[in-house]
Amino acid sequence: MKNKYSGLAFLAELLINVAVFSAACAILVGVFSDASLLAKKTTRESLAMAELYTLTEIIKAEGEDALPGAAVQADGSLLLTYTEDWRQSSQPAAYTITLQLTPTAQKGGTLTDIVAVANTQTGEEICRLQTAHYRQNE
Amino acid sequence: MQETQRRRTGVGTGTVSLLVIFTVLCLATLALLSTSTAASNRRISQRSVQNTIQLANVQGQAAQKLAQLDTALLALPKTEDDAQYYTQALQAAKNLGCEGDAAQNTVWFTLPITETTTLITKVQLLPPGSDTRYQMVEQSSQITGEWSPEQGGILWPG
Repeated sequence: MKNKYSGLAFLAELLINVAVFSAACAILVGVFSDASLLAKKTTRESLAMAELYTLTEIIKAEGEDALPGAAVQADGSLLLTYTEDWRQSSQPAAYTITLQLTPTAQKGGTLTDIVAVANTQTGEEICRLQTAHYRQNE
Repeated sequence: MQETQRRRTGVGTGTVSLLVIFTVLCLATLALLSTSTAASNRRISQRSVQNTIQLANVQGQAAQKLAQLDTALLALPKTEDDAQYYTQALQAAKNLGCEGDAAQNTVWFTLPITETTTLITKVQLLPPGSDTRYQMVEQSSQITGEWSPEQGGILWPG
């Protein structure tokens, strides 16, 4: 009799432990996935901003013609496409960067406003950079 | 009569519970640490992104100021006397809020990026008749905030 009840108690304990472990795993997997998504979002934002800053610096130094692979859009903006790991590619893009250059003639040169925007494939804006550059007339 | 001692084999009643509790606690700790690290990295990254945005913004303001300086230099009366030209040019630059060095014919101005950093833009004035009015010498960010060391603490004497 005692053996029968101790056997049942052991089985009951096992069942309860399995249930508790399952519930805990379900919750913890959610926490892990949140942390992973947050890390991916952080990486995406950092790499996007680094790329935006690099592109604006290239434009300031050498002009928009120095951007290889930039496609000119109907509104005059430049479009660059990137893969998931932020390498420039002409394949279906994971990310895009749009560069809007607005030159304004000044007395001694041209002041160009540069707006660079990084977007995901779905059009969601990741980050945006705004700067300007002045080039003297020679 | 020999009593057969039943040897107790297998796991005790509470052992599995203890193992489960221990495993769940370890997993929970790991999950919390992962989340904490990710959140901390996100804060650092966002700060860095904001600094870059601010820097690019201020560089744009510097470009606008350079355009104003160029316009002012072009408005100066034509003269063949270089010394007179540089004097007028430095005065025109000072009128725009820039500082100048008459000995080296350089002009510079600073714009704040954050509370502790500024962007300094320095240009070299070129003689009249040159293709351009000035040449960029330097554009860099500098720390202006003071570092205040923490008092106290125990240092290893070495």
